[in-house]
Formats: sequence, C-alpha cells, structure tokens
Amino acid sequence: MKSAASEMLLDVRGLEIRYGAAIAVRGVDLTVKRGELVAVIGNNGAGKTSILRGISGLVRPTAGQVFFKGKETVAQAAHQKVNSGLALIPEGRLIFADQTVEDNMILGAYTRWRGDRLAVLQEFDELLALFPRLKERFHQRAGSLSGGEQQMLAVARGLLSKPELLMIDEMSLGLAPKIVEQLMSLLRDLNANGQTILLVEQLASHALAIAHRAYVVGQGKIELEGTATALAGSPAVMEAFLGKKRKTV
Amino acid sequence: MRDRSTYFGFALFAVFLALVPLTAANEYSLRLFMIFFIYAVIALGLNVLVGLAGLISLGQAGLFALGSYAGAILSTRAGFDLVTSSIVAILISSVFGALLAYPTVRVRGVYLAVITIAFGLIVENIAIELQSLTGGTTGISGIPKPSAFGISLLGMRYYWVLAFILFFVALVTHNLKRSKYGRAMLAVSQSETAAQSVGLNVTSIRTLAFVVSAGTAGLAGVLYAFLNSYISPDIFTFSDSVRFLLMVIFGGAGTTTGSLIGALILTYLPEYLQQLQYWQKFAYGLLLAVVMFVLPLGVFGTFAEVFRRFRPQARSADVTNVLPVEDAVRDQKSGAPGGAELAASGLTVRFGGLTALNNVALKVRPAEIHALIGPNGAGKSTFVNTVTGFYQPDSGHFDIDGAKLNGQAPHTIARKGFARTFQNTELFGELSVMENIMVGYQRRFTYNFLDAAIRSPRFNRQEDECKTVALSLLAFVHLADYAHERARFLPFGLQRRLEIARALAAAPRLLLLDEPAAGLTTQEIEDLDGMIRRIASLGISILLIEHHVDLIMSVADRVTVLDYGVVIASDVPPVIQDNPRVVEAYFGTPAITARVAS
Repeated sequence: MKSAASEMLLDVRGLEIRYGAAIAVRGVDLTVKRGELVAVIGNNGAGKTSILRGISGLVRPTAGQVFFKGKETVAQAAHQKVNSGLALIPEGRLIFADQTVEDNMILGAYTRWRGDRLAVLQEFDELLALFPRLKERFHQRAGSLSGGEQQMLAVARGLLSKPELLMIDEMSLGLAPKIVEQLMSLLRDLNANGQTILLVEQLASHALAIAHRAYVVGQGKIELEGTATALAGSPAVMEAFLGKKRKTV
Repeated sequence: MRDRSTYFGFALFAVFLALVPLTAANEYSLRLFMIFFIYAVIALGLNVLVGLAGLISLGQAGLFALGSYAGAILSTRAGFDLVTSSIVAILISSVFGALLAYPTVRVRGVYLAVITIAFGLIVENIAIELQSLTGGTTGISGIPKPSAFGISLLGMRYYWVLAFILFFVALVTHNLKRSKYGRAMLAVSQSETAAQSVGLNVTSIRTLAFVVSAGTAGLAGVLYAFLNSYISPDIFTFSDSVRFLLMVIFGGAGTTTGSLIGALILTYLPEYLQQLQYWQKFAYGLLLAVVMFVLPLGVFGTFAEVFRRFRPQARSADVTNVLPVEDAVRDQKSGAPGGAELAASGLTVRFGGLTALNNVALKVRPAEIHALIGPNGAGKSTFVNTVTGFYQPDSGHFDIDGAKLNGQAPHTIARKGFARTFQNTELFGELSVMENIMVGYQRRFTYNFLDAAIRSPRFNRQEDECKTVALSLLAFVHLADYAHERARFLPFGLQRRLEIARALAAAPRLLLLDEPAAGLTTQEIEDLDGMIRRIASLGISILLIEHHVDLIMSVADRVTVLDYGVVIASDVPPVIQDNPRVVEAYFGTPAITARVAS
C-alpha cells in the first residue's frame, strides 16, 4: 500500500437521493484524498450507482453536501463539474455509436486536445497497445463494436480526459477475464502515477486488491469502511462479496 | 382496486353523458357537445396509435374525410342508412389505415409523420378535384337525416346514439389497452428487439394500431356527415390533423381519460376564445405552449404521474400463493415437450471485410447447459444474433430439433420456443416489472381481439393464468418486492434477473442467456448459479454466454470457445480449462486464472 497524500479532494456529507417516494441513498459520508484509489462495493440495488450520479451531478441530491477541492458543488450542473476536474465513466457503454473509435477517443480528450496534443497522442498509443481490439477497429464506427469492445472504448475515453478525480462505474462489465486483469493493473499504475480514482465495482476481490480504502454500501447506507486489506479480511465482506472458497485451477 | 377505479370512472362518464343534455341551454350548445363526441372518438382511436404503439399520425383528418365522404356518398346516392354506411366507411378507412402502416416497416418518427402528412394532403386534394364524386370545393349537401333500420334518429335520439358510440369506443379502446394487444403495442414502442424476441410480430402489431385508429376516424367521419348534413374539403385540412394529434398529447397520451379531456378542451377552447376576436389564434397557441410546458405529460397524464409519485401503490406483490416454477414454465396446451436441441453448422457471417463468424459448428443438446466463451469481439454476440434471426448468415445453417431456422424472422424463431436475454438489457422500461413478464407470456395466449374488447370469460381466465405465472416467476427470480416498479428504475443486476423471468414466461424449450452474471456480486452470482441449474432441471436447454470463469466451470456441461470467429475448442469444462490455446486467448496466465476463480 502506498501512502496517500493528505489533501482532501472529495468530501461527501450526508448525501441523500430520492426518486419520487423511494429513497436510494440515505445519509452517505464518503471521502477521497488526492492520490487515493477508493473502492465502493455492495449488492445490486444498494445505491452505489446513485451515489456516483449524485456526486457527478447527473441527479440532484435531495439532501447533503458534496465538497470538491474544498468547494461545495451540490448545485453545479454535470458539465461544470467535468470542467472543474471531476469525471465519471458511467455504467453501460455510453459511447458515441455513429462516430469512429478514433473520434470517440479524441472526444474523450476534448478539453486537452488543443494544448496537450502530443501527450494525448502518446496516451492514444499506450491505450491502443493495451486494447489491441480498439487498434484493429480504430477507423470503424463505434456502434459496430462488440459489447466488450464498447466497454473498452468507454474506459479509454474516460481515461483520456485526465480528470483530477476519475469515477468509474462497473468497469469490468462484460469484459473477458484477461482484459479485466489488464485493466485493473492499468488502474493501479495510473494511481501510482498520481491519478485519484473512485471505483464502483462488482468484482469485489479485484477492487479490494488494488484499492487503498473501500466502502461497503447496503440499502443506501455505508455499512462498513476501512482499508482495503482490513475489509478483504473481514468475515462479513468475505461471505457477502468474495464468495466461499471454490476450487481453484 | 385498479378495476374498481375503472368501473367508477366509466360510471361517472355515463352519468356525465346523461346529464349534459339537461344543462344544454340551446340547440347550438347541444350540437357543440355532439361535435365533441365525434372528436373524442377520433382522439380515442388515435391514442391507440400514439399513446400505445408510439407512432405518430398527422394525417388523421384524411381518414376522417374518407369515412365522411364514404358515408355522404352512400347515403345520398345509394340510400344507405347510418348503420350500413358506417360499416362501409369503417372498412374503407381501415384498409387505408393498413396501407399507412406499411411504411413503418422502413420509417419511424418524423419520417413516418411526413408520410402521414402527405396522405392527408392527398385525400384533401382528391376531395377537391374529384368533383363528379365529391362535389369539389362546394362539397356534398343534402345528406339525409340519420336513421337506422327505418327508425329516424333525429335530435335527442341522435345525441343518445352518439353518446352510446362514444361510451362504447372508450370502453373498447380501454379494454384493448389492458389486454395482450395493448401490452404488445407498448412493448413494441419501447423495445422492438425485445418485442421480437418474445415472439411479437412488430409489423402486424403496428398495423393493428393503425387500423384501430383509422377505423375509429372513419366512424367519426360518418357520424359527422349525418350530424352536419353537409360536408366540404375545408373540414378535413392539415390543421385538423394537427388538432386531433394535439387532443391526444394535450390530454395525456396513453390514457383513455386524457384523450377525452383533450378532445373536450380543444373542442370548447376555440369557442371560448372567439370573444378575443383577432387575438383568438394567438391566445390558442400561447395557451397550448404554456400548458404543455407546465404539464409535459398532458393535462391528465401529468396529474396521473404526480398522483403516482406521491401516493405510490405498493411496490411489492404478494407471492405467498404462487405456482411452483416447474408449473409456471410448462405450457398447459402443448404440455412439456422438454428441452430443444439447437444445432448450428458451417455458420459464417461477414460484415463487409470482417468475418465475424467463420464456419462455426455448435450443438446444444436437450436440457444441456452449454457455455459459449471467448475474448471480447470473438463473435459471441454475432452468433447469438444470428441464431435468433437478427442477422442473416452468409453460409451454413442452424436448426431447432431438426427444423431449419435460416431466414426466419426473429419472432418466428422465438415462437419455436427459443427465448433469450440481452447483454445490455432490453427491457420495456416504462412498463412495470410485472407487465414485462406478462409480455413474455404473450405467445401462450389464445384469446382473440373480440375477447379482449368485451373482456370475455376466456379473456379473464387467460389473463388470470398469465398473472399467476408472472407472480410465480417474480418469486422465482426474487423480484416480488419490485413488482410494480417501472423496469427502468431497477438496478442493472436486477434488470438481468427480470429478463430471465420474462424469457421463462414464454415457456421456452431453449433459453439463451447473454452475460447474465455481468454486474453481479459474488454472492449474487452464486444465486444465479443455482437459478441456472434449476432452469436446466426443468428440462430447458441453456446456451450461456459468460465471462465469469467460476460460474461457467461450475454450471456448464460443455464449453465452446470462440476466438476471431473460429471455434478453437469445444469440450467439457476441465479439459477447456487446461487447453493452452484457450488459456492464451482468454483466461490470461494460469496464475491470474487462479485468482479470478478464487
């Protein structure tokens, strides 16, 4: 485990989100310090995605505060938050289907394309080396990619925006085991180079293997929090998320 | 409870229809009210097209005109009475409705709107130019007084005829909405792909919606001709088509009450605004704009939505007395034929220069769990889309139990007992969880349109069976707590389970699961593991596309591995796991595999 720098990047206090009469998130407190990799795990319907949507401004929380770099941002629109350095890779492959793979990646680097183009192109090469599939289909329409390839593209596009805080919802969705492994080590490397990451992930064992700290969400509340190592060793987490020991290869 | 409020609503409506003539101050106000009846008939029919099937018609005045002219010509020249001319007019306009539905095979949305506008303009123009038949711009006058079977229907009698017809049309369209037909239309408008995969023929469902909306417009046309005793082309202009569509949207598309309210307001509004003289049109436009901005779902639609938000009905359903799942997935009529065998051989699919599938052979044996794995982009989804009829193979063939399926439409393949789930979930988002499963049941219904219109005993019996099956499957996939939630509000992982329940509702013999474990936690995957075994134990063959290695190794009887469109291995799980080619292409290094599976 690396030691995390101390500056508080994201500070969520008492976050509450309602959809009509239903309460999805009830009083969640969550922090991310600069340089940290924080994971959020929990069952389906626990409210993980809602928390990310609340932080990123895609839904307006009904109560609570979201401090980003010390400033209260709960009233800001989603695009304002992106400009201030907070980006979300949403669940479910929201790529620009009618544009090419290349265009999608350029759009990901939209805010950096003018000033930082050489660095962007360098990262293009790195990402394409990581996802040879995207390289093979670089000039094809993104909508013609297979489901998993679209997920790779969504991740690549998000990484290219180089936000101060990168939030990723269900990165591993529909990806082959080999790719998941590679992506997890990519996140670890990015984090080692200073990228702050908030990761929502169903593959709890993978998330806990690379995170510094983690939160366990259940029924819209934080049920447990702690260092990833402590949580990975906790019997409650082990039973609920890591599964019983199965035969290994 | 829902039914009680329906009875109450219709009783209230009947009282309203009976009381209004008592309050009518003079002939004119009564006549205006009868005009409202006629417009309301059009709006109710159009609501089936717009509110249920999600299509747009801006040519409804053309269909209204067809009915009107048919009635006028038949009664003035051939002496037809109200009943006979209505029947002919409904037939004629329905035929044109069916013709209008044909373009939906190719176009949708604004493009379809343009075609319907063109249709309205053509009808209007023919009415003006075909003078020998239509009287040109002067129109047809001297339409005889309404009568049926020799009985005169003047004055108040005609009022009661119109009131009865409106009540009847409201009842039938409302019943339609709450039957398999209404659910099918809503389903088609929300996900065409999913609708096809539960066996719905989307073209015939859209045609039905067009025919209903055309037939009612034609009927309204005849009623108008007899009420007015004079018709001319300026009654059937494009702006009338716009007004009919507005009635539906202004009132609240998809709701019977909304269409009635929309028709009522838009019939009376111009009358009240007349006192504004030359500001009349301005005020009319402004009022429409403001109301639609404040009430985006229409007057009644918004009211109903707000009511639903703040007085939510119970989300969960009682599933204490449900069928065991083996009874729920067994079709009463066809019995239990057992799992089907899917066999594909030499299957090749190309997209331009890319060969997505290359000479693929795969056999799912009856009641077997067969896993299909491979790296992203290996062609798994292409295979799925080919054997479900969404893509056409360039060569090779596939069949179920020896019956060839090449070239069959997706809904035909689905009706052979082939059900599926979707990788990125394709639910009917605005329908409730329960209703989604009921759409899955669709191909097991045998009642017809008439049964639905009058809610016959057969209809009620089958709908009850459907509900019981839906509840049983809700319990089976543990979604009873979400029964009345709209499907799009479900978390992703639960949407996947709902897709499984919807697929099972069709009583399939072969179930294709496309990445059912994606987005599930380890605990949930273990539940899924049990669920898949249970489904297979019911005698349903399963083709499983998955990335979770431990799930595959645990449940699969046989595993086929695709890479770059080619089958690189097909064997029992332990052999696959040690196959060096598979490890290289898919699992990654053995050390990592060990970690994934732990």
